[in-house]
Amino acid sequence: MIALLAVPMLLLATGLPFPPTAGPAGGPTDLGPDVLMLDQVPGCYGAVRFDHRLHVGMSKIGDGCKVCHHTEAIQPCRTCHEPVTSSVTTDWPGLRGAYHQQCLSCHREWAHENACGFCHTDPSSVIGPQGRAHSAFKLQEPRATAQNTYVYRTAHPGMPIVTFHHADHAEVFGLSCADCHGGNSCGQCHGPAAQRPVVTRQDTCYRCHSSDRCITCHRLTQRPRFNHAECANWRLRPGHDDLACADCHGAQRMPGRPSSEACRSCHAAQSGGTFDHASTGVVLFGDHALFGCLDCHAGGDDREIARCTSCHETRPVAGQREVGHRALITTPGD
Amino acid sequence: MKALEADQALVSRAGTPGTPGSPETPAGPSRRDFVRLTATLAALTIGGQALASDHGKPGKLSPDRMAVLVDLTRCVGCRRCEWACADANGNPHGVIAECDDQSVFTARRNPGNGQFCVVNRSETVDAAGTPVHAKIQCMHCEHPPCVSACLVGAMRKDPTGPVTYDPSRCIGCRYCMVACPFERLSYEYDRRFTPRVRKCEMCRHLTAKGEVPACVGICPVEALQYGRREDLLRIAHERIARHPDTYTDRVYGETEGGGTSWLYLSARPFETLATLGFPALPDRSPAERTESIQHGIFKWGAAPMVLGALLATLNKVTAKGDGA
Repeated sequence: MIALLAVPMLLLATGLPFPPTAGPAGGPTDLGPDVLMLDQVPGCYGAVRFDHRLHVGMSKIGDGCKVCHHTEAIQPCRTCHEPVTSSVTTDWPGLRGAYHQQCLSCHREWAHENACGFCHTDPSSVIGPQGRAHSAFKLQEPRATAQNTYVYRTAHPGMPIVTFHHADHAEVFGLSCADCHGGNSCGQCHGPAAQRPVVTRQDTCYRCHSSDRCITCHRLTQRPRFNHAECANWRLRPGHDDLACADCHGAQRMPGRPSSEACRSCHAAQSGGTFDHASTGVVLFGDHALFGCLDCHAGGDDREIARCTSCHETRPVAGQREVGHRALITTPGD
Repeated sequence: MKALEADQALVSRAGTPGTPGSPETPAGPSRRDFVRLTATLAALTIGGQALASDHGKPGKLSPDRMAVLVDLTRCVGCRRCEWACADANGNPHGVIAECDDQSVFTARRNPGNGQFCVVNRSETVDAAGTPVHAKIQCMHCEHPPCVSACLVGAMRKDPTGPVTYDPSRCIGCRYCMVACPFERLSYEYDRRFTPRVRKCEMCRHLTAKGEVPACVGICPVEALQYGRREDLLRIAHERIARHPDTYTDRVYGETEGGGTSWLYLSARPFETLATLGFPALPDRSPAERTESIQHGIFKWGAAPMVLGALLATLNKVTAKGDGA
């Protein structure tokens, strides 16, 4: 699953004079340069080609730019770290120490990789700034893996079973790794000794689910994988089934009932600006025009699904207004 | 000096004319006086030398003595220090890329003849799956048992930090190797005529030129820092205070075995790293106990006097017995 996180890292050394590719100019939202040549540290090895843009992408899982740049103020490493370490009276790494400590703090944990050749590659294998040797690194990349489903037995007295379908959240609900696992280190998801990454209900579950609606997660028995028709009791047909959750549900807590505005936002466009139910062939009389879409379309997006009997009785009931001729509004299948 | 003057006075007295037995001889010291004078001078010379020597005695260290701080949380086991050490000390070594060979970590290694420092890897890993790598070498104790054990002063504790070895004095008794609580010394058993004890000397040939030890200089992650021991201890404790979740609250070598010049910081408790070269040692140097016994016995020449008295008594008793 966590394929996004497993974006292969690319660090290549070269002795060739590739100029750093300039990124978008200026500003705090600047993503910085695409590629940097780290060539200011004297030593046994040549320059290291550092794919800055790749690492910018990876930093989203953590604290963003601060992961490497320490503070919100983004500045090059060499601004604070001297290329030549001379001081032995302060606890301030030189540029070489800073590079290695920073890079290896992730690489070592992520790939358990401490061979120098990972970054200090053979100059003959160097790829130009425009080329990215992803394929070479995919072989080394330890992909993060997760079970499709986790079942927990909790201390909840009435409904102890919590079934968490990780695959549903990642693939069906379209959440990215960082949505739930932000703040975890690389090695917590990747590598041979990967641990289960830390998630808290407060930071993950409750962002989308109400904390006071136990039955969302807690059940007496294990739940099957998500199926919109069964879980939400609303079938999705082509046209609806490829929409993202948020297209209908917006930012509301799940499970939630989409607003009629969400329906109209698409269907109005189909009928030229303002949605007119009459354009579907069914004219809504009287109070019916005030109903929300889902009041009638309660079981799915089949046009035939709206039912009269959910509100109306065939016989007059005390306190309920009798509708005139039932046959006029009943559906053929009813 | 007083004794010398007294001796001279004795000489002048002895030289006065008119001594019985030889009126015709010219004025000069008698044989007895000559022997007495010679013995006194010899005693003064030997005694002076003995007093001047600080061999094996603590308390002569410079406050500016140098040390190395090793941060085990930074060490990644690249083994470049091993290569640089061999290169700087004239030991055999291959090309630097050979250091990437991780297979050496399968066996526990100890510094040896051709290798004054080695890096070992822990068998266990932490929560993130990362093992601990630890470089070990002579710890350059503050009060070195090897120096204390050395009969001839070949091992010396330099006031500036390093424990040095002088092969020209060494008689090859290898007491130093037995004495070392860290077992970091090796011996050239295969060198037939001039075998030497081999150990790290903190690259004193480089530090004399103002450079840092070779291992410190090459360490890419700056896991090794060379500096005044006082500064490094301060840095180490500050680092622990700054990252209390990262480090175990102890600087190995601050007090272990009476303190060492190599100081270690670790994420894991050092008790769990005993096999990596961090034995549990008391805060006092093992040399302190032996020295207190040995020096106590011979203080003010007590032992010879007591022994002499015993022998004399025994002799007298035995002689009486014979006579009876």
